[in-house]
Amino acid sequence: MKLKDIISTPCGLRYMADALDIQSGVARRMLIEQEMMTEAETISAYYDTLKQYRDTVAQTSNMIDVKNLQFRLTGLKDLHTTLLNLEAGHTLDDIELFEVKHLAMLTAETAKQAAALQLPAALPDLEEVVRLLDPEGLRIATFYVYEAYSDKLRSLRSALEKNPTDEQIFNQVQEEELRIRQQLSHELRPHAGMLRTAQQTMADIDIMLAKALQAHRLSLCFPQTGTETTLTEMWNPEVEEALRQKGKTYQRNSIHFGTEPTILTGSNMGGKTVVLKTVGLCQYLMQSGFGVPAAQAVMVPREEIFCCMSDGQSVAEGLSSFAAEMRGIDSVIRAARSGRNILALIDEPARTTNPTEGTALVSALVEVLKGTGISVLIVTHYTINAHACPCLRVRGIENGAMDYELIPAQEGEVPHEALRIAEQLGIDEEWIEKANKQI
Amino acid sequence: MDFIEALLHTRSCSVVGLEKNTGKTVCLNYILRHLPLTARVAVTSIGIDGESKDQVTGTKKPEITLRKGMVFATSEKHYRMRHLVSEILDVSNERTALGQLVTGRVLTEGKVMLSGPGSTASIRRWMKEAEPYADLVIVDGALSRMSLASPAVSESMVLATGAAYSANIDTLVKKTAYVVELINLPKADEEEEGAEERISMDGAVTDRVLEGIMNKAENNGKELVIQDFTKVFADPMVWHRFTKSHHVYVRQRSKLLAVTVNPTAPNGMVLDSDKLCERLSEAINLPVYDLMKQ
Repeated sequence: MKLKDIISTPCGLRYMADALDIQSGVARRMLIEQEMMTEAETISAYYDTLKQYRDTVAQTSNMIDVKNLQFRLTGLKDLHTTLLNLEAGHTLDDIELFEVKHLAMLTAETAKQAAALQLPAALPDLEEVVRLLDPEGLRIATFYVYEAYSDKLRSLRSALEKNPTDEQIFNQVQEEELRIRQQLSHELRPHAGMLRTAQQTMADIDIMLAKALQAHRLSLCFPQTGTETTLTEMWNPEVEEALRQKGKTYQRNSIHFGTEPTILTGSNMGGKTVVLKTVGLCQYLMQSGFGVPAAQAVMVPREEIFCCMSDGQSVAEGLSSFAAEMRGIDSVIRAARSGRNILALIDEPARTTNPTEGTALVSALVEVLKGTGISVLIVTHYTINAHACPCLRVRGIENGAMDYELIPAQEGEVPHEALRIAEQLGIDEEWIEKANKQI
Repeated sequence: MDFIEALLHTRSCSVVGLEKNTGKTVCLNYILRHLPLTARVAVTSIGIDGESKDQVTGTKKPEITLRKGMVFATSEKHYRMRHLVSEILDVSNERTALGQLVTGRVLTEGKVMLSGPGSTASIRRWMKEAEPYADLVIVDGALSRMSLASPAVSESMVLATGAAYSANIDTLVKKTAYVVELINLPKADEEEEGAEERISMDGAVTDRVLEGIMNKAENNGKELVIQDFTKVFADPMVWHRFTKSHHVYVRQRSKLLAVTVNPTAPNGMVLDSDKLCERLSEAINLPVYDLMKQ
């Protein structure tokens, strides 16, 4: 799975990716093309590096140098086509040679700045490339076929300067320039791989800096890998921002779950869906190497993550919401049966059908998934048979205010606060009163 | 010539042709040739105007002659086709219709085709970037509904008109005077932006827009503020009816320095140059030159 495939999942991942202060288009493309990490060692190693970046950007004394390095990286360009041409043995033209020289000089400058900040970045030494394209040793990032390359060119150019309209001399100049460009391309060819590495490494630095700055700015944590999931004091930055704009605060909460179905219940408006989305967000962020919005996080790397949340997309596919939902959960069961290591987040399954069948479907789902070794969080309002699986619930309304804390619940304990909450929302009194009488 | 002197007192100037073959390139080359050798000059073009036509008809886009030391911006494609020796100063991330935008410095005099940034924002950005290299930026300013970039970004302007725009002296004078009137619209007072007695708009000013404003009694006497003169597409009759009862201002204004004429139409018809210059100069109250006679 690449970041571009999961970025639209309705859990706030796009918000986090968009908030990254990435300087170059190359890095942005690389970020969204990045494969999700699935191995614990890879993830740990990635965060070890990111931690060094974070420690660097967190120091106030480094602020200006970091800004300068970021500014330097705005000059990073995508030389994909140019490098392909070079590798394929083509003769590069002035513009391409300019780009190569620019990249080589940018690499040297970036390496210097990164080293001064003690960032762990291994940029290749491209001095030989600079030397080839800067025969006068000016260290300026401009380029043309310099007279320093050949005496013949020098004399032809001075002849041209005296007779600017002489076609014959102009053609001779061009021929000599071509010969020199052919030779330069030939000499540059062995460096093509290193140039590519340099471009990728600089894009990496760009991404790492952006992630480190984000982690520092939002006080994100770097997660550990483990065999069970514990997210302490987690929050969803996108939801938090939306609340902040309305003058409200976000109540952070913690969750723990292992490798069996975990049931999550709670009153309406109790933030259950936000919990589900935030767990999904944290999981995606870890496997994409971002800081995680929690005080502490231990998570299990997964082969695949399933987010079964209604977002109205089924209309486009011509499926009813029920059919779309059933298909989504069906793929979770198939993946679970095939022994894949997955995390599934299922929001109110079978909520669009009658409660009798709905309850049966959810109870049976828990039974089917229990023992498959996958981690699954199921949010439901139904009083189901939880088959001795752990249950959590949102604490709910206390002293007239919603407490979003997640606490252990007894099996089958489903809060009945819908009417009370509707009342608080100022819904039609007669309606609520009549409903109360029915219970 | 007087307008060259005036031009040197501005930081940027666009050369705008009212129609193809009105002598815009002649005018541009004339200016470049007559600038003092000490002037630090950067040149570019806006837009892709005429580009597709040229590719269809196979007619060559006119080249301009640049002297040693001048800085220019053109698309990758036209940079490769240049007929001069130059040093690449920058290759911008910004893409034109013909590839990336390349900024170069002329090392040995020669010719080049210009095709620069395609939007007002990007031409402005380039003019800013060219500041270290040049005291004067000259913009080959396409004036057409096809171009997204407006030549009004420059401080001053030279307008090229001629028989190609109209073959009848009276009509030509009238049509040119209308454009001159639009170019000379006064600049809006920025502090009063959003004032009640003011209607502000960004888009095109068409007959319908003007009539819509005139038809509402509550708009009586209100001033209209538009982006720049290129946004006016109204018929002169409607326009003049409108300006009788409303003042119009522009947010972005270039000072018109001179008008040049090309009395020869592409079909070979030639207008009386002296008469044309005299009549036009009278109508617009500005110097008018036939550059072929200079």
